[in-house]
Amino acid sequence: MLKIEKLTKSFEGVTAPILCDLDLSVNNGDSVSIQGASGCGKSTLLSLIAGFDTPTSGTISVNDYCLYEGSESPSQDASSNARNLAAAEKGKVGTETVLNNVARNKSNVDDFRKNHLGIVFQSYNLFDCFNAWDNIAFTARLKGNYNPQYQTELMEQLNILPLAKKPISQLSGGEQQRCAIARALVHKPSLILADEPTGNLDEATSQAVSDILYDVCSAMNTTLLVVTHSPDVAQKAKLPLWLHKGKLNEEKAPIRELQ
Amino acid sequence: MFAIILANAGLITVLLINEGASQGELASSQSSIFNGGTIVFVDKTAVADTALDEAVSEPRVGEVGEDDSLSKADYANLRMAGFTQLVAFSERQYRFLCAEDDNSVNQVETSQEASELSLLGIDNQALFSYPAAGDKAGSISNNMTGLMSTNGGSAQSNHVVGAIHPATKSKLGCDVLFFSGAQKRSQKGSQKRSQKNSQLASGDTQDGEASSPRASSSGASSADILGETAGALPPSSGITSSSSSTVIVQLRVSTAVSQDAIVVSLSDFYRRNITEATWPLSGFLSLQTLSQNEKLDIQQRLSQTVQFEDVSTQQDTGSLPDSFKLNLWAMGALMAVVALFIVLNALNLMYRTRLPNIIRMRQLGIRSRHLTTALLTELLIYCVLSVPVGCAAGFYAASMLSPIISGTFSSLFDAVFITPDVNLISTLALSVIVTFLSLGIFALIPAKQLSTALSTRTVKAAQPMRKRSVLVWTIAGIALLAITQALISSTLHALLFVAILLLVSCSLVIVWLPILANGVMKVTPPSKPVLHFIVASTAQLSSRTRLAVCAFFIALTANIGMNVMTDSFRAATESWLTQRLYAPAYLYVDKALSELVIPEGVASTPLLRLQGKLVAQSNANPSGSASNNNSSSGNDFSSNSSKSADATTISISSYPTHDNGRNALVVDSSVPNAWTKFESGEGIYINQQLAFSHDVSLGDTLFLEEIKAVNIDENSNQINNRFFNKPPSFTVLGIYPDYGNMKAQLLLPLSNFNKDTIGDAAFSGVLAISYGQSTFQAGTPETPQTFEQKETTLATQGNLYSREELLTLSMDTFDRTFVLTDGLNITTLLVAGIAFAVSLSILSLSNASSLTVLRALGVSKTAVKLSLLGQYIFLCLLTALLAVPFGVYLAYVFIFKVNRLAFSWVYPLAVDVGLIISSVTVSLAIICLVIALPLGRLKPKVDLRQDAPL
Repeated sequence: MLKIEKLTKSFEGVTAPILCDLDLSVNNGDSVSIQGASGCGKSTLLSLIAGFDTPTSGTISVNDYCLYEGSESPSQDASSNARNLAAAEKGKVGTETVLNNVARNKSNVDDFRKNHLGIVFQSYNLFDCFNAWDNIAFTARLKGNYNPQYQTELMEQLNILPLAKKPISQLSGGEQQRCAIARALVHKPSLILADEPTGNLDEATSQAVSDILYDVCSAMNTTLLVVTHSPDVAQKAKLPLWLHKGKLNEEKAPIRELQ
Repeated sequence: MFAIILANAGLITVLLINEGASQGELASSQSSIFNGGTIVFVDKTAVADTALDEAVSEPRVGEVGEDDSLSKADYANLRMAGFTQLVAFSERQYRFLCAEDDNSVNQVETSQEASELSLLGIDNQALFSYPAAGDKAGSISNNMTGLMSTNGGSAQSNHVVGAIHPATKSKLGCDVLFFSGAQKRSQKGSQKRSQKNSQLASGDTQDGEASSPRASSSGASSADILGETAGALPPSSGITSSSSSTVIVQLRVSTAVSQDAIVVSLSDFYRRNITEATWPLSGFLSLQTLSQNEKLDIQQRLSQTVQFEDVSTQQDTGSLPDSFKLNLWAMGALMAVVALFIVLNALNLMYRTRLPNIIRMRQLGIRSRHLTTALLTELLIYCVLSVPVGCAAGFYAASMLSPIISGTFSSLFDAVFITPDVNLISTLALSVIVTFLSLGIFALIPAKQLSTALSTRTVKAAQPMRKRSVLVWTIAGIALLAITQALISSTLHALLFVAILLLVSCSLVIVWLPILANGVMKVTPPSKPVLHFIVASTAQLSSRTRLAVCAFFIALTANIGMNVMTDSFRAATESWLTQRLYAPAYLYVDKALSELVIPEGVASTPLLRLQGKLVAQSNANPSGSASNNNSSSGNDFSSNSSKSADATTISISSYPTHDNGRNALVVDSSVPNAWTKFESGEGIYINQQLAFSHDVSLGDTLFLEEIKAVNIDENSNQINNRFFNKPPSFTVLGIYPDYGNMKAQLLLPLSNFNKDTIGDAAFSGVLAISYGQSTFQAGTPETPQTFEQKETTLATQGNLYSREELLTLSMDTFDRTFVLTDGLNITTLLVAGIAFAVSLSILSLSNASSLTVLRALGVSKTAVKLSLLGQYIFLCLLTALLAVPFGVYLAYVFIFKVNRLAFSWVYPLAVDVGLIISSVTVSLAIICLVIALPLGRLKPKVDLRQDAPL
């Protein structure tokens, strides 16, 4: 379960926070799409959830893994850090545990990403040096749950199994994106963040790729958070949301306001 | 741009260090004013003194007030008799202090340590008036031009001009010296020291010109090692200067001066209370070697007994300096090639960085010609800016390093390193040529690519060659090497072959590196994803870093090759010397053999040396007997099997036929029962130099003419029997290694020499000493003595060295000679390593998105940094893996081609795995050190919207 409470993110030199007291709760296996105007903070939200950046305040937790629970004060308490490390050693952090600035404990966040998170990048970000198979297998090998049979099934499902041995540079955009999706799914994460997953694809491919993404996540009981500009892709989510003025809304903001 | 600056700086630094060492080594081996020999007065009573007394007594040469010492009148008489090659000199020991300038003499701190040097006054008018063309005097007078500026100076003035050896000046570190009051008279101290060391340097061991320390050098430390000092001088606690008695010496550099002396004109020497009456002439220098007849004539014209000290053997400079110079030259050429690749790589990287924008401009319709012109203009500007900056940095680095190198050289290795006097234009020209040659080569690439490329895909790094093509390429490369190696017939060919070898090996590295990396990737377990990524990424990187890899590869290959060669040479020399120096001690003397006093119970084996001219040689003929060819008269070589040979002077050395001699003789090859035949006088052993230079094989017979002893001019064609008991056979029985000797040499059994008549005439001044029965009685046995007394008795007659001392000195000389090549090697490797690291850093920037993806997928920052470091190290390891076989091959070429053709000797190739591992480890350590610094600051920031790599 992804739970975000009162999440605020401000950037230095900008008076208004880009995200302001944002709340979101998504159950396991559910999917959420987020649309919004350019620069409204969609990618910032994903970055905060992925632990790439730290929020100004608020709480982010995935299942019972508390990624961040902080206050306005940026000060770091040594004792709390020690507790974080102890909790990290246990491998499991309860939401009830009061932990400040968990996100600052880099190894915790790295472990979170490695074990619980799958990311689909807009520009695929596959490794040039690997072929399709090794690219997809990378996250599972990193996590330690590499299963060739499962990967084969996944690739079959995404219709990229014949491309397994091909170098990435020889794949088309759609094929690369499907590989990226497979890479995000293959290690069975509890949360997948997709940033414009169909932004570079044609309409037909976009539909096919997004269908696969939603279906696989649903079948695997994986939470999916998709940031997109495509209404078609967004509408396939169980909970389509709009980000406007730092908050998530179920309704689209008026065009005048968006402008 | 940094890489271009670095390449130029490295090139200039190496060239300057190279030049400094070369000039230093050259300076230490160049003609000295003592080279023609000296004539000094001999106090007969001194000979009769006991050894102990003599060691501590005041030398009697030039004793003040002695009536029979050498005088100006004697000098005038000799010159009037036609001995214009003689130059009067007088010598005195002083303590010298440095002064910043003439005015600061009185401000010098009394704590400053004084330097003990000889002040040598010479008749400069006689020196400069001597016909200079075509002989040593020419070089001497040219180097002594500093003295031309003064004509003696006023006796009232306290300013004189003095010539000093550049190495001595470098050690002192000042341009002006001053002294006051003599410390002690000298017994031609510098002469004796230099001669002693020249004997060591000339490598005269019992078996002839056969030792490696032939690399001539200053011998002060050698003398110190042996405990010889100029005298019991008081502690150098400094001198309180007194302006009234202080003499200020303006120094001029001259390589003709020995390293422990300052030469002034005789009129400057005799000033104030120093007159000929109080301090007579020390002797006469001879600007040319005196013949025996001339010596006799001079002795007859002088009323006093004089001693002729022929130190012409000092000029037996040997070939280590030649080898050393060749090494330096090779290092300079190597650095130029490395610099070329570095600049080429830098230009390529700059081009690659600009490529996206260039392609976009092409897509917008700008002509490729305009873009190429703009690109090349930009690169040209970078080159124009980088060359002077790089050269300035190189000069600065060299000037910063000079004192360190000089200090290290003088303190550790007693070697000479001087601040080089370089031709600025030629040095800079080389740098400019290398840079702009790279630009010229590079200009061909973008012009070709941009003419067709309208998308980045078409100009991306070329795909690695297919395996079949690689195989064909490899076979072609190896075939080319095999063919060109077979065609080597001169030193120039051998050096050209080295260049071809490096280029071919570079091309093979370029094609094999990706294959090797891919091969490693295949065997890397994918279950270790980060490691797998490192290897895969390296495989990809290997095709984009070709030029940088080439520069690093060349430096590493040369490093391994030079190290293996030097190590092989060292091992061969040490082993050879250890076996060859069979006697417990060796005595080097200036006296005639008959004058030597050998204590009872001491066995001495003299080295006798003749020389002759090889006029012909006959091929091995099974039917031919040695007795038919044993004439040295040269009249028997007209048979069909004979062939003419150049009239080369050959050294004929005696060799003892006792068991020790037999065990000590190291041979490369020999005929059956060679030693037995040698013992019975049926043939000779020849050194590699003779065998290689004249293509002499076992069983061949040599025909020699004009055989004469080293100490007399008489030709032996008429007096052959005077030298030999029986006409010797010159049939080649064996070939022996003779490292460090450039001369062709043959060994004849000692028993073949006529003991009664040959002794003094052929005595080379070296005796092997052992404490058993004498094998060649010389002198008169004396009463039984203790071991110490025997040694002392021997030592008073010359310079006595133990076997260990000789071995140590020889190997020290060896190490000293090659230490700089090691230094230059490391400098080249360092420059190539830095350039390699810079290239990798630039390339890793373009690969940064992969690193951030790693971070996004949960790889820790430390692991990402380590993965980057791992890529670099892996690439270095792969390069090293390829460099090792080529390095060993290069060493083989150096030993069996370059050395053979340049110096006419070869030695076994000793491949020490430990040495190679250490070479590679050092290289990797350099790379790690260079790249670890920027890596520490690397912050792979995770960004959701990072762009895919171009």
